[in-house]
Amino acid sequence: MGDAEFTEYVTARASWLRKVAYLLCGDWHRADDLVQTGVTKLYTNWHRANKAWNLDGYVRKTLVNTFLAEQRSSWQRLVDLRGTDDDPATPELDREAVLDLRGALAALPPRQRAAVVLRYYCDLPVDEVARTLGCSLGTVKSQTARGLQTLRRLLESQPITATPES
Amino acid sequence: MTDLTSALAELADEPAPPMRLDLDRARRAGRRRRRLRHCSIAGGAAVILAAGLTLPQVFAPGEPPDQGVALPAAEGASTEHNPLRAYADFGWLPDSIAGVGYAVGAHGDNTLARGLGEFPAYIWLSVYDEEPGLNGQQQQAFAGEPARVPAEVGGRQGYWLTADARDPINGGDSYLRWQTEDGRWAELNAYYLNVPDPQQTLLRVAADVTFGTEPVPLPLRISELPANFRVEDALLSRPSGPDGGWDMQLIYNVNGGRVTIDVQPQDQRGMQDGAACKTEKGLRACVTVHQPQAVELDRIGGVQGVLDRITLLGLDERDWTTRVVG
Repeated sequence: MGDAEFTEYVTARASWLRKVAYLLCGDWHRADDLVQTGVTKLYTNWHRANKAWNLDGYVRKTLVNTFLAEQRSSWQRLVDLRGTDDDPATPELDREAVLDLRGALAALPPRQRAAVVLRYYCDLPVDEVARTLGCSLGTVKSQTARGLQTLRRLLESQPITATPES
Repeated sequence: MTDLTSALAELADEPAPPMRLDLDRARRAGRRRRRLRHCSIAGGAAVILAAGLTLPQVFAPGEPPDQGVALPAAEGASTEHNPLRAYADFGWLPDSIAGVGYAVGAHGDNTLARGLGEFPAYIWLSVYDEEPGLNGQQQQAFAGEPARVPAEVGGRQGYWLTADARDPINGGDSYLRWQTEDGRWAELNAYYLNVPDPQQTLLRVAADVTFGTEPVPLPLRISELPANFRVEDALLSRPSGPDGGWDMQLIYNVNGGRVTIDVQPQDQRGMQDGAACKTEKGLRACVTVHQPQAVELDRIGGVQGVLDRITLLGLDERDWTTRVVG
């Protein structure tokens, strides 16, 4: 597939990718950097892509891997440097609940957070989450279970429901 | 009770700043990464076959010329021995600048002059083979077609990109472009530039920029790396924080896993411990492995084997080397 298809795909999926990235990292600017990196890697391998390729799965995996790798590197210090002054004013309505969840997500270790986002936001089955994270089904189950446990503890005032993993 | 899936969707749908995705930058970086793969493979082959053969081919045949940066031409600029190259460099800089850093790889190629403090001055320098259009960040910043205010940089034609033609420096987030002597285009993007006359200051900075691919001296030597170590990113960040300091990072993709080498002054705060670290001549180096099962370092002695290949060169930059690997 050529450049036109690449542009078409990224244009259509950029907003979704950005939301996934935002839930992973909790910051819109870092989310943009994650998407930029994911899209770059997609372009690097675009010549291998074809209609049968799971493009969404590939980019999602790239996004998650980049996020997890950045937790261990100093890159985030560099990529955060630009664009720090364009946050629009945010409306007051329903902010409290949303911010509580964002804070609770931020408290999760990165792999637990990734597992929760993939399982409950991307609505992926456990085996697909395992493929994305490069780990076993059991690990996904334990990561999401521990993540849910922490979220429930942190969000005591707004109990959450979620399908159990086991 | 709140359903977690709905709550996550609500959080992801909250009001957000404009997106900064830059497809052109992704394409440029993607092309470079393809070339780095070819280069690393060629470099590894050269190690195996020993010296005396023809120089490793830096670019794959038929690979289209990159649109965003100068092409490495000299042997000394090859990624075989040094993954970090500068495609352009600053000359004169205002006193508020504390240092110049370089980055190449998946996160983009930059030469960055930076100050100290909470809102330090930033001057980003980029080079393009052709006159660039607007990247995603600029499209969002200008919300339409910006004005081009003519400028002269060292006798060469250029222009300021600005939302308001009456304000060439665009309210402090300034873009100055000019054509270089060899026909390429350079761009400065500067902000937090706390100087009395930003316009004249940037013109002077631009006039003193030099072009050409040069390896950046780094504070370590790596005796040898297996051929499947492919450079993904290389970075010398200087200053690295509001109080100064510096750090260096090399990120290698190895069979889909990642090996990261960090170096910074031994006493500097903020160093993340890796799987294996050592201190030498006032510097600390750490090696971190992500997805070790993919990386398969056992045959070279594991993480410690990578660390053992590293020699640190000390705090004095005059002792640093452009021949980092091999």
